[in-house]
Parts: sequence; structure tokens; C-alpha cells
Amino acid sequence: MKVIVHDLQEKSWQVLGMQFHEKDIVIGESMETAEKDIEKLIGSCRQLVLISRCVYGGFSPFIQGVLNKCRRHFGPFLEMRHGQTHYQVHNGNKNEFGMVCCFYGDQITAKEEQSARIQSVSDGISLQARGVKIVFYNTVDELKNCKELSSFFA
Amino acid sequence: MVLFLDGGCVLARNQDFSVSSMRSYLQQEELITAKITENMDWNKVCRYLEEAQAIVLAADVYLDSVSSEVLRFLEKVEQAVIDGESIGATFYAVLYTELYEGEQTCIAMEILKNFCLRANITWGRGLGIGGNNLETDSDKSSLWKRMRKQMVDFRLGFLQEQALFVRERIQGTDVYIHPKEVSRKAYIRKINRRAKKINRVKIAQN
Repeated sequence: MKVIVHDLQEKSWQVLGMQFHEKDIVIGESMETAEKDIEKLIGSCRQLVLISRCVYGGFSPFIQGVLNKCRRHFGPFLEMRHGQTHYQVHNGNKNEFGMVCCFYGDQITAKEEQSARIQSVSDGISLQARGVKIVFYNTVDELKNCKELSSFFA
Repeated sequence: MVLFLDGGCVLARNQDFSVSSMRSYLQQEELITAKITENMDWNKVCRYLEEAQAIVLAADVYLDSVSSEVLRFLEKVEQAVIDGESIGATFYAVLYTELYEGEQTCIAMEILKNFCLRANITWGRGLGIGGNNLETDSDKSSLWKRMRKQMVDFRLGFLQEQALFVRERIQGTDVYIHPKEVSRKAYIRKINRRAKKINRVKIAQN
């Protein structure tokens, strides 16, 4: 199962024309997803795809809001990992799911790109993802060229 | 005038913690506080932003970023600048994290710096505070009380230092702090013990 979280407007999302398997789950701004559902989904998926506008070198408010909703999915217990404190991850698929972060937006500065890369990797470590892939595109249409998303385009 | 923006800093001992610890060091400076919410009076905040000589943002950091409400607010501020609003204030940040290392707020700090660049606001100085959940522990042992006191003092000193930077409107190097009196392992142990206790109470109540 793949979970796709995006902040695209309905029109842009339709234009993108992504095709999904029955099991795949899409979380968008127009859809209301309960906190518990998000926790469960992120805890049980094989791939987590985040399609986000790059906002000041980080995720957009919507994507950040979704990630914050997973707060209960890890914590309140802490553990030591890589010499730093991190929240304990409760789900069974830790170290098994891959994370793909697709940032889009024109005029993304080099500093913002670097910051977004570091945040993505750091979030991958926090969620205990198996690996993190980060890509940047100027426009939403260019997402079609993304290798990591090629399985969604017929 | 100093504008203090409360970005929902739950991890501070209480919501007024940052303000009260900085207030005395700001001396006769007028201090206005505003809480960042979805329903905040934007026109009023806009007026404050224009009049302020220093802006202090205090916020919690989860997953290496400030909350979505704060990000939305920053975007609104940037849009206001694009629309002709002039903000001549210097921007200071106080970021709190539950994790032990204050350094874990540095990515969120970079995000705020990027915002300042976009909105043409001068960056002042950032203070990243780790280990904020320590003092909320309700353990009543005298030893713990002593440690708790030290912890509060430890944060206070740095907040007051930040207040001096705000008062003088000077720029400085970002500082990241953690409770040095408590080791990382001890902190994890304390937090986990407290979480277990809360869980037990919840189960009993259910």
C-alpha cells in the first residue's frame, strides 16, 4: 500500500492524472482525514509520498499539519538513536517503508533547497523510514517526469 | 515597541514563560503579545508588525518545523510585504523542543531565516531550547525539586540574554541549548517514566 499526501488544488491534481491501485490512499487538502486514520496509514504503508510546495525550505503548511497529526504515532516515549534523542516509533513497519519527498515551486533558492533536503532526511530518520528520496521541480506538471512517481503514470 | 508572537509554545512551562522572563530585561520597552491562531485579528497584527522595532516569535518544533498555523501566518506576512506593507523590525526566534538537544530546532530556525530573506526582514538571533518537558514532571522528591529549579534557571539565563539582544536590536549568532544538569540518558528515563505513569492513569480512568 502506498500513501500519497499532497497539497495540490483539485484541478492541478486532476490534470496530473495519476493512477492508483485499489489499496493506495490519497490524502489531499480537499479530503478530510481523521487524525487516527493518518496515524494508521503512515504506520502501515510501504511507501509514503509527500508532494509539497516548498515553503521557506520546508513542507507546506498542509503537509506539515498532516505530519504533526502523526505525533501520537511516535512518542511520548523517547529513545536514543544516532547519538540523539528521538521519539519511539510504534508501528510495525519501521525501517520498511520508503519515503519520497517531491517539492515543487518556482524560485526555490539554493538555501531553501538545502534546508528542504535536510528536513526531509531528518523526518525520514524520525519516522524510521528505510530510505528517503528528494526531488525538486519548478512546476506541478514537471512531476510527471519524476522517476519515483513513474509507477503512478500509465 | 516589541511584538511578541506566541506560536503556540505548549512546551514552555506556561504560555507566559517566555514573555515574563524577557519582560524585565526589556525595561521600559512597550511589549505587545499576539497569539497566532486562525481567527486572529489580522488588521490589528498588521498594524503591530508595521510599528514594531523587534519581533519575537516563540514556537514549538515538531518534526523539524514550526506548526502549520505559524507557517500559514508567515506566508500571510510575506504576502503583506509583497502588497506594500513595510516591516522594519528585526526578527528574533525562540524555539522549543521536547527532545533533549536544542540543536534539533536548527532546521526550523533555517526555515524562519528563509522566511526573513523572502519577506525582506532583518534576522536578529535564534535561540533553540531542548529538553523542555523536564520541568513538567510532577515527581515530588526534594532532589528532583532542586534539579527542577536549576532547569528553570538554566533556561531563564538564556532567555534573558535573548531579551538583551532584542532590547538593543542587535544581531547575534544562533544559540542552541539543552539541560546540562541532566544527562541525555537521565532525561530519556525521566520522560519515559512520566509517560508510562500517564498511560497507567489513562488506562485506569478508562
